[in-house]
Amino acid sequence: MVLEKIYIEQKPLQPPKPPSKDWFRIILLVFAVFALIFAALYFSEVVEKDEHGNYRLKSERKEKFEADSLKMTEECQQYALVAKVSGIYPCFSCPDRDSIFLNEGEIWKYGVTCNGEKRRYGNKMPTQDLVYLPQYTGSLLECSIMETRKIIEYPLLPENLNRKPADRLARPAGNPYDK
Amino acid sequence: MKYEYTMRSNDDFAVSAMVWHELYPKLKLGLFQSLLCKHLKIKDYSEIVKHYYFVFIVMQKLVPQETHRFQTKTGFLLNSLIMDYDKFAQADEAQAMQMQAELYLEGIKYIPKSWGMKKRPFDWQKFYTDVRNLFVEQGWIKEN
Repeated sequence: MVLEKIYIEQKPLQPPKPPSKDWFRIILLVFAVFALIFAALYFSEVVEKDEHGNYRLKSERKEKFEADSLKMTEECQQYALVAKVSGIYPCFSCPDRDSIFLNEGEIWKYGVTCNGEKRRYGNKMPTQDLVYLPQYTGSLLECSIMETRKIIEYPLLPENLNRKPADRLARPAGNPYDK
Repeated sequence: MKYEYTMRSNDDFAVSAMVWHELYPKLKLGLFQSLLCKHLKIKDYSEIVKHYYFVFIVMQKLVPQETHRFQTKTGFLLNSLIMDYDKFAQADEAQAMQMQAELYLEGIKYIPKSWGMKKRPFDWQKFYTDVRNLFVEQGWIKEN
């Protein structure tokens, strides 16, 4: 018995077309343009003429400068969150995993909080397994410098150097960025 | 500050602190938490409270507000009280333990007044008595 061979003509498979990125690019561009428009300040919004016809800054603009300057000098606090108990903690700075083992007393995160956030800060208790340790009190600028320095220097802490090479971190587990 | 991540600990009782870093070694948070979790069950005092979380506040500047709040969604009862900073800084080990024990007991009295706890059952008097007995057994406070 001869089996008839059935030839089915098949078209060669075409590689799938990558999804068109044009629409996505257009949307991004429109968004960027609107963002620039709304973020931009016009000259007329910040400057006015006085009674003599001389230019001067509008009072709202001056007040903003004073408020921003004041914020840089208000009393703030640089703190550390440390593990209260040994165990697994979320890791936002780990390149290849989302958790890490920390021993009791090891740093989880450095941060800064200011007097202006006292109300929110007062309601933000540490989670059960972290202890909030203020380490420095000063101006926002000083505290920010302290915070950044500690994050940058974290890799050299003994607690990090004592880990296996593959487990050593570039930043504390709770600090995904340098700031 | 954001604390939106989920931590592992799911014990009936948790004790933590907001404390100036140099005074941190004086706090014996682990002792408190293990003692309470070993001998007491929160369900003996309330059907709706699943976890009782106490925070010692020992800070000199930018001192946070005390918090007394029940979170219905999670069943967490939060209590944070401020410790006298100067007194704690000068206290020896025994005095420091006594201050912590007394503040923890003081916190229990806030439970019926906590936000979200009105008209919700919690046998705080029994809880107070049981905790006090534990602290007396440990020698942290004196028996009256």
